[in-house]
Amino acid sequence: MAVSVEDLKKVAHLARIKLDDSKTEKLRGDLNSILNFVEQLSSVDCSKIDDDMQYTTTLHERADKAVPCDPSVMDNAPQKECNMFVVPKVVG
Amino acid sequence: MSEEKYIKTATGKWEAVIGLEVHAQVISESKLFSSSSTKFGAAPNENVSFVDAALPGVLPVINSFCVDQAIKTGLGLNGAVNLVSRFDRKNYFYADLPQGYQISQYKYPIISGGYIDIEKSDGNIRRVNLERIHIEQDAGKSIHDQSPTKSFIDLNRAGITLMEIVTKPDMRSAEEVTIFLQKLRAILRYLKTCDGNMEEGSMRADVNVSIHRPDEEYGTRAEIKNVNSFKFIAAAIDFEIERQIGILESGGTVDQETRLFDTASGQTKVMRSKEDAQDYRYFPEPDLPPLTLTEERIEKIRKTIPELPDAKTARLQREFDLPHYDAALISAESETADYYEKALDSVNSPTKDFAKMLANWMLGELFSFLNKSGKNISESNISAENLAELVNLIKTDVISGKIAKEVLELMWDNGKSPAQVVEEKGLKQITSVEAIEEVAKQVLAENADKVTEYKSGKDKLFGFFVGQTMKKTEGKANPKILNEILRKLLEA
Repeated sequence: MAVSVEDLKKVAHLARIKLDDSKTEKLRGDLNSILNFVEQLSSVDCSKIDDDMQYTTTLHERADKAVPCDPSVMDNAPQKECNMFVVPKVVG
Repeated sequence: MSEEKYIKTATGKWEAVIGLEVHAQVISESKLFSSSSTKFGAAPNENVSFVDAALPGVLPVINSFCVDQAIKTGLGLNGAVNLVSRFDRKNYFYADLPQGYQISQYKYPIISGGYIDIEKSDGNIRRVNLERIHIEQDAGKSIHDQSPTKSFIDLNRAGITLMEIVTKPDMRSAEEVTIFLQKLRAILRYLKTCDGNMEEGSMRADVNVSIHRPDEEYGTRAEIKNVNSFKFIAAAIDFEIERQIGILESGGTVDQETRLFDTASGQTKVMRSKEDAQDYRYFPEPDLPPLTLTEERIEKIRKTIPELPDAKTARLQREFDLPHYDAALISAESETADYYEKALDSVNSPTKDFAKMLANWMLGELFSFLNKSGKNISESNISAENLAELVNLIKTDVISGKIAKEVLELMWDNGKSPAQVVEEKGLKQITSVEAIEEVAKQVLAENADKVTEYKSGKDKLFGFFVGQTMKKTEGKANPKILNEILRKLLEA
């Protein structure tokens, strides 16, 4: 698996990371070696496993009961006004 | 297939192909993966837990009732419930999505297939098939218009359960889409799985529109995002069809893109193009094992499904000989149906005649009062029982239909029962033959010249005598008895 410069730029754009052209080659190398490392997983024989829905745990379901929230959740907001999180203007 | 569905222009015929993704907020007390309240209208960020704010280390725990609601919806829409479904992460960056991803269902939705039959204005039935229904989290709300440089985020809605109902591209016009959405909304309200309140955003639709020549492949589609009223959806579709025809007829190509409907201009505008299209990088949600359901659970839910609009319409027609139009109108909304059935239930073994008359009074007189006051039927000043009683008074000749209208108006104004109104205002119909005969004799005596004319062949004057007698009794004479008496007196 090899990451092209285009792949790298696309992923950077989707992740909203500003990419410095001078670092492109280094990052591409890093990313390729990470993917090569993960690629080892392909050598595992999965032919006996039916599908990707095999889990050993079951989903725990909770009852539908509303619980009041802890207002301190807003303490984590870097910027807030009128008890709302404030972010740079985003439209559309 | 009829010809009418094609759009004819100077260059030939076009056909529009429309599919929908409807987001319906699930009725529940708490959110999908957290115990925060779902109550609408709370103070900003009042219902935001650490899970909703996606603080590090939190884990989602699924709301069992929301799963049941999705199953119920799937069954109500004729879909197949999948015994195993799975959650996936849909990754995208936006300030109102603190997790940086939405927990949704991608590869294995909870419901597959399903359909709704819609009845068009020409009486034709068209089946709109569903692709799937899956459950997912809603995002928070961004407020952009309070500051030129900042956006404000309220996360109260973040994490509320949504059902995404995806149709096949089975609709061909704005009319079909509007009827489909009205019916979908009605069914969800019957099921009590979504309140269908479009103003509060409980139901929103993304619309996919493409056009093609009838004998050619489907064209490239544009997606119109988040339109939240029936009127705007229809307007957006009509605009989009015109726009695409314009492009193709002038030799251009339609871009696959996401567009927004601008309510002020009535136009759709590009939101993002294909080049910029989001790559959501779906992958299985590692924090949640698959959702497995048992047949017992599904069957238990199936038993809670009420009679739905189509079945109700058919039964009302069968049981009471109601015209299809009336039966469908009564069944169209659960509140209207509830009101009608409550009224029927309030009398002992209602006859077909009674049921028809009740339908007429409800759909005619009562609806006109409701329309005038801008109220819906559940807010009616007149209870179902009182309307039934009024119809009963007409049927048992206590009051005439004409007087009943007067009574209904008084009932609307003061909320009293019809019997009370009739009693207080002395509106009771006169059914005593002697009493009516006395007044009729008086009228004939006062109009001796007209009686002579009548007897010499001027038959039309009969109506005049009826009118005069009615006037003297203030409209209270039983018309049938009055007619008989006048005939008897005049022929004597």
